[in-house]
Amino acid sequence: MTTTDTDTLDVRAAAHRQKRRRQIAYVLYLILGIILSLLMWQLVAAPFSPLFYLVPPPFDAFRHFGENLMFSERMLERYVHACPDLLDELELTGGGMFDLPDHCFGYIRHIMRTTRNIMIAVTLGTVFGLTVGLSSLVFPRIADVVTPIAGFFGTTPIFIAAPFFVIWFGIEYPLMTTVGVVVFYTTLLMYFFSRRAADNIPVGIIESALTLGGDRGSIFRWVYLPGTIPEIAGGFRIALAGAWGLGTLVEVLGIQMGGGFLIRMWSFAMGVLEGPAAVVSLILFFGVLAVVVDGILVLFIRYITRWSESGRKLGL
Amino acid sequence: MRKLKVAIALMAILALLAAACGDGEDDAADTAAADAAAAAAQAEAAAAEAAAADAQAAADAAAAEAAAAQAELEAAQAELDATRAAAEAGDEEAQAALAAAEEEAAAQAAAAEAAAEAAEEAEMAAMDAQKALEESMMVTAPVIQEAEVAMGFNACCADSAFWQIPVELGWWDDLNITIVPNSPTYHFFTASADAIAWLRSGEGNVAPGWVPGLFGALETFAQDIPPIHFADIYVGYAVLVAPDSDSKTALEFMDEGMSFADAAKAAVQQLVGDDIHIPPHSTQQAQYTNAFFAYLDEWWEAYQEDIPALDEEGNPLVLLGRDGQPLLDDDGNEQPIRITTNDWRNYANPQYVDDPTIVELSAVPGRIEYAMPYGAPTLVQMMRNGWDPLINFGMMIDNDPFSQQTAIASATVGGIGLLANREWVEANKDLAYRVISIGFRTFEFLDDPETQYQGWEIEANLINEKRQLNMEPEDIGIIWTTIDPSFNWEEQAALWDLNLPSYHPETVFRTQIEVLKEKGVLSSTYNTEAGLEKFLLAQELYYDLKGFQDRADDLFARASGMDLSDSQADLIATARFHYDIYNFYDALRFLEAALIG
Repeated sequence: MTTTDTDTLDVRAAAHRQKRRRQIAYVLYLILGIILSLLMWQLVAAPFSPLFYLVPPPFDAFRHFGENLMFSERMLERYVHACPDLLDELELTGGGMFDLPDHCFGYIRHIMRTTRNIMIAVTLGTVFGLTVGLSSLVFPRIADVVTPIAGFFGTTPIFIAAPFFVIWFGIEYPLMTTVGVVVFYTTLLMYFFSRRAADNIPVGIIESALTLGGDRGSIFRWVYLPGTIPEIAGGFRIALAGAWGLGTLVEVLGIQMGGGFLIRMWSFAMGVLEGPAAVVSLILFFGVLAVVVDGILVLFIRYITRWSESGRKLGL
Repeated sequence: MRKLKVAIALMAILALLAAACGDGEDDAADTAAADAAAAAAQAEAAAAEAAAADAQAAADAAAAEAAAAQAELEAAQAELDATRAAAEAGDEEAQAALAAAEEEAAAQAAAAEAAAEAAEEAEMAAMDAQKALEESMMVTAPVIQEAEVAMGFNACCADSAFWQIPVELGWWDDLNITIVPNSPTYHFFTASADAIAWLRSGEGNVAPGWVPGLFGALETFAQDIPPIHFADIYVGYAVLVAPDSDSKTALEFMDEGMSFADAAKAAVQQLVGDDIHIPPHSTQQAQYTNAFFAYLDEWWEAYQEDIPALDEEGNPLVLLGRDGQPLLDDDGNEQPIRITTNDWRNYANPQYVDDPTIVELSAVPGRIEYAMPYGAPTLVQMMRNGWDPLINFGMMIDNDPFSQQTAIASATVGGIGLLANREWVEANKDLAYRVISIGFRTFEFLDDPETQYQGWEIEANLINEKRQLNMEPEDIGIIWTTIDPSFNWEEQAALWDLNLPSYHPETVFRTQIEVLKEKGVLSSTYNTEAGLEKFLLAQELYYDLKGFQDRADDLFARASGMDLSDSQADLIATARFHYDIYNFYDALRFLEAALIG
């Protein structure tokens, strides 16, 4: 063993220790941030706060969510359920509603429905947006046709488009409304991100590819595709983050099932004891869900773009 | 003077004795005390007037005496002049007489001077007495302190938007009240339920709200925000059917020869298994729709249990006929009003969307077939757009007034009340009285054919602005006359007196609370009577105002027979103004200041 070897090992060990310290510090700061947020929340919800009647204490919100997740007595009282298909099979006579299984009255089915619709919509929107966007790299005429239209609809505030979808497609078909709005939004976003990602590839790289004998197909496969994926992945995260809010908003506007629907039903009972706790707990849930899904997405994108500097830095 | 004082004392003692010997009720004692005080004050003023008259008479006598002395002085002076002339002529006797006359003239002059001084003193005393009299007749005007009232509402409906009228007509200024926090207008909510948290927090003082909506919270917070005024009764509940629907209304079935009961059953049968678009807050007010579905035979075949509908003495409410006598069944038994735990949502599918969205959806042909908006403006606008009532309360009352279904409807209706933070009311009862008076003043404005159109216009403009509707002023008139009749000041008496024929909140609310107890929303041990008595603060405040009005009437009558000073007359004119705008509290204060001091 040489002195140099020892030094190298020491340096490597020190680097590991440093990294571990950073990781521990990151977790500690994360926990500290959460605790401070909870303390702030508790202060806002304290009896001396002017928002006392509107903001429930954090643990009330957590408790409400836990108690109503699988079965909600309050939803049963209001005849609000998430099993229209099952109800159709029951004879509608006195008490028929009470024959539904308990989970029909829990939040779980609503939340799962929202999550499912949003994931479907984001997937469809991404496929549509990328297909058109990336195709336009191979066939520039597509961009000439699509970009002005996409630019026009892209400037339409989505919060104006959402009520339009509700009125146009009605509230009975969430696949057309919730999914429709999110697909519309995601398609536009992914189209623009794919176009911008391609525009951001230095012209010199394209020219180099051409000088090396690259044709339209090979340049798309070996230059555009690997060059745009990291940026498109970032756009996908943005689209997904927006989709949670948008999908829930559409449900708030009139759809008869989903987390947004629950928020709407409770918002009409804000003065009632559990109203604020219910609304806050549901909003919080979707926030946490969005963060968790985004975290998983980051891990996935980092894995598939590990060759890329921007891919490795994703999520930092 | 002494007799007068004795008389005053006797009058005061007699008045106090009269007060003490009353029947023990507060109002009577108060009235007697006020009468005694008024009599004492009147006697005191009379005494002051008499004293002033005495002083004036004394001054007049002193002045006459001074004038006589002056005349004597002048006569002596003339005699002295004559004597002096004779003396100058050389008459010794005249010389002696001159000396005597000069002495006498000096004495006369001294007497005249003394008399003049006495007259001057008497005049001063007379002036003092007159001043005392004027001071005794002078009264001080009471002050209506400037105050802020935090008030807000959801401008969804005619029975809340009417509060816009006093703002636009400047009536709050008459009471020195500034509306906050959005002065000069109100704090507007997007949902009526938002007002509840606002009031509970103390941030808001008063806000109109749906009174029956609070019953579920009677064990928790509803007692903190009780109603202080009842505005109206909403009888506009209706299931509307789209213009392009094949469904027939109950009236159309009647045109085919059916009785109303059969027609209603056939109409409601069309709803079974279908969607009804209805606002989310209907989840807490499902009883109105139940009245329609009670026409179904299966309604009575499958239900969990009956809920007692009781009167104030705990006796079951029974169906009454046209003559007010109980209706008997085939076996000759009285028929209790049957309210059950059954629910219309066991027969049809609610689609929960708020009223504006219902209007939007209804604008797309074929989008929805049945709707039950809860807001009268939405109802009227949809009817104007061609939607017909499949069935409504009006049809039931007109065609089937003595049925179980109409009894259920009547036993479950409610209306908007002015909810208030109880602590605020207890600390500011004067403000509460004034705020309530504005409500009655507005109803008078809306009842008056000469002014009501202006009121409707103000309401329509506000509702259109806040709810994106397209109401005409006449639509508001239809709401007030047929859908949402209000209770003006005169009608409040019957509202609270169970012996007078009217809608009685106590009776109706008792039934609704019993329903909540049966459903487990309230505990089964909840004391309905005690809870209602505490909750109905509006009743207590109404009787307070009625007491003020009665006492004011007495004092007005007394004032009409009195010789009033200018300041008294001014105060009574101010009292009359406040009385005429239903501010009986301040009317009485001004009257008492004018007549009692």
